[in-house]
Amino acid sequence: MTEHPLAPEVAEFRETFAAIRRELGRVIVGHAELLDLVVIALLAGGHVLLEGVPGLGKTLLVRTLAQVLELRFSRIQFTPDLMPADILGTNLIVQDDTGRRRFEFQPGPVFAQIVLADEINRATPKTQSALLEAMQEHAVSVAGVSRRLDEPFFVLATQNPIEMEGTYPLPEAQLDRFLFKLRVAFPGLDELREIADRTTGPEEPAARRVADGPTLLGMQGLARQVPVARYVQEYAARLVLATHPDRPEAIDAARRLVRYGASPRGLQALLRAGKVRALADGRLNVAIEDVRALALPALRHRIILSFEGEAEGADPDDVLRRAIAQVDARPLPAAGP
Amino acid sequence: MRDARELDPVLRRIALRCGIGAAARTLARSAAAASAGLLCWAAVTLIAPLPFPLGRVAAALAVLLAAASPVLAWWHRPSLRAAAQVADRRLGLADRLGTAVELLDRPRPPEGLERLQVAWATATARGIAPRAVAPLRVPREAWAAVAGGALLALYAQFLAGWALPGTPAARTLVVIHREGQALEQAGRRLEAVARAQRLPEARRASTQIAELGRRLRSQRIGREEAARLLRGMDRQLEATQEAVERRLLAALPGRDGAGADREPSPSESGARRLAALEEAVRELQAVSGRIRAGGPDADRSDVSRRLAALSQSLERFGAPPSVRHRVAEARRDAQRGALSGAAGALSDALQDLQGLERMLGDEQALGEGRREVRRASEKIAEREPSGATVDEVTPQGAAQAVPSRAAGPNPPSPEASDDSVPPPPGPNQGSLPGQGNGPGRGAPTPRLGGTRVPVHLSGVPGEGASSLREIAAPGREGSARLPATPPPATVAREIDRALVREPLPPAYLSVIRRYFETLGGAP
Repeated sequence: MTEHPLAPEVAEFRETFAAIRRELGRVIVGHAELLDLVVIALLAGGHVLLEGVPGLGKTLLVRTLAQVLELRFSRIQFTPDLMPADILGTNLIVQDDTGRRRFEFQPGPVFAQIVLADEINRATPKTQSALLEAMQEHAVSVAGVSRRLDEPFFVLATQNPIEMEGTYPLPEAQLDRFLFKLRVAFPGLDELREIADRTTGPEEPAARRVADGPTLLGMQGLARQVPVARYVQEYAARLVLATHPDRPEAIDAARRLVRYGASPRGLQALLRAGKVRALADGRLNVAIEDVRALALPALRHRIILSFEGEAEGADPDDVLRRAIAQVDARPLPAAGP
Repeated sequence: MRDARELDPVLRRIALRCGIGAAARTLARSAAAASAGLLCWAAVTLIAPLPFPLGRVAAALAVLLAAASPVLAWWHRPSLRAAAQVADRRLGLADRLGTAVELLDRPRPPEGLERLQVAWATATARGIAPRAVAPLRVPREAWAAVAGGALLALYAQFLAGWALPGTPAARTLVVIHREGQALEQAGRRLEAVARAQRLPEARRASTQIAELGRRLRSQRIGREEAARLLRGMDRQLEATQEAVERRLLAALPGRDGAGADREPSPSESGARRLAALEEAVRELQAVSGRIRAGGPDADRSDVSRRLAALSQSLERFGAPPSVRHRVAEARRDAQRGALSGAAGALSDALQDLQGLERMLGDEQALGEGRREVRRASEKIAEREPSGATVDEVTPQGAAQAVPSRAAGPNPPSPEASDDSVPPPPGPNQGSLPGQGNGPGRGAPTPRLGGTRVPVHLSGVPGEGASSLREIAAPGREGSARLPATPPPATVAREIDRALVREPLPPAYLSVIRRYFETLGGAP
């Protein structure tokens, strides 16, 4: 295959991506795809919802990421009694040296660059929704004053899929703000052995810092320039439409099991993440295979199952796989002079 | 833009190869479908008497498909964008070329990463071999077409002409075989007549007719093929008949133009002319015989009178001038008493007239042969053939055309031998007194028995079985009461007219007439 004459910034992007990925791999055992997707989401300017049982290294992943990127990190442990002000911050009355008292804003933990929202589904919807503006607008409004968050801003939320008692499932609007929903699988035998070696020895592995905020912002800007062909966009759009039960393009499974399909944000997520994936892979254009590879993490949390789907225990991933198969089966554009 | 200039030729070559491949697939599918259709057609011909010109249809299809290939290749040629996508997919280029083509198609020139992407795609395209993207392979559907062609070849070799028993196709086959048998027998009869009268063209034609009949009878042959063969034979006979007519026209200037009598239907004027000619020949023979019998003592006035009458007769039917001149010369010799000179002139005239007679006989026999061929052709072309089998059917040609017009009550047996030698003459037919197998000269003529045995024909012509029964009744001795005497000329003339009026084959007229003349001359 002919190598393209890499522009310096593209080469730098690849190197930085590989470095971040390598440093994460020093600490996190296994989960190669998960790590790739987390970095992709970070460089695409999106947020990630991690779903997995406790003890799989979710928090460690976020903390390691903060170390590697030299970004301000904060962790919010979501509990039922957590209030929005506990996340966003609040105005406190403070007295200065002259004795005058005034309101002063005390920023909450959301004022960081990497925020770990641990067990986000344990907080009430009111508190969960406090993150909405921060995630979408990268700004926080308190007492009528809007405050920008520092860029890059990256929220990594976790939730436990097993302990559902006393939890508040995330509302659709909240879910839609996440670029990816990633499922953290339980490690295999080799990975467990490796975890044991690394964490029970005299020295714990430590990640080195390989990038900072401005570097990440530059990488995000470069990724946005990656061209996407019209037919690749069309492929992604067809994929999204195939999940909508009331659309003519819908697949049978969607008509039967889905109440509402992926939103336009799903399409944006596919293409934004696809651009980063292409660059990370050394390519200068988004390919259909990028869209295909990112469809499950980018769309699975945007599909709302119907009652029948819930009753049957259907998995949105299955619906998406069928949608991919159907869209893949379409022939090439009609031939003609 | 340089990148576009470099990218387009590669993509065009890929598009062309894609078009050729798609055209090949379409052609292979079409050929497979056509061969399947032809196989169905072939299967139907085993049941229904449909025409199935396999060779012509296959050739036409091949020409059509060959002519359509470039059009199909052009029609199926994908766009450059589609060609780029095909290359991306086949070579695993992750939509590199497709994206570049789109970027180049945009109104604004590529910039930033877009420009880099186009340059990268162009560099990639330089190393692409179009045959690696779109290899030209034999389509899978081609094997179906080959299999269909092989099955068609097997059909043509082993099954063509066969028909399932009890089907319309089988009935048509029966009709073809029956008409073949009839033609063969008609050809043999024509050959016998041609041999007896020394008619060269008729003899050749009769052999060909018999051969055609044998072919129709013995081979697996379809209706169309049979009709084609019959048409060919008809054209051949027509050409021969035309040549004979041209010769006749040269010999008889007063005769109607060529082609006027060329229709195979019986020509009354031709028969009348032949009858007049035969009468003239007969009269010439009688006068010559009288001169030879009488020698120098022959009655000159009688000879002269008869020659004068003969001259008038020759004048009426437009005999050749040379004949008329010789007859006039003979008459002058007779009047002068030079009977030997008259005999020589009459002999020359007789030879000329006999030559003419043979030509006329040829013409009439050829016409008869054409009628037989056309009748067989019409029978075969009938839409609903009867269900009779070959064994059950009496050849109608044998029953209607030649034998029924032959002289004598016992027509020649249809079961003639296969060799070219004509069958031996029967006791009273096709032979002259003293030459046949009948009783000796002077013995009573064998007659049929007094009790008539009716002949029953079952069914209608062309349908069902018919039976033929030979009537073999013993003759009665001593039944003849009057001695045979030569008929007077007036009676002979009346007989001639009666014969002309009868629907007899012209070729048989001379045989019948000679038979009775010989009877008249017998003591």
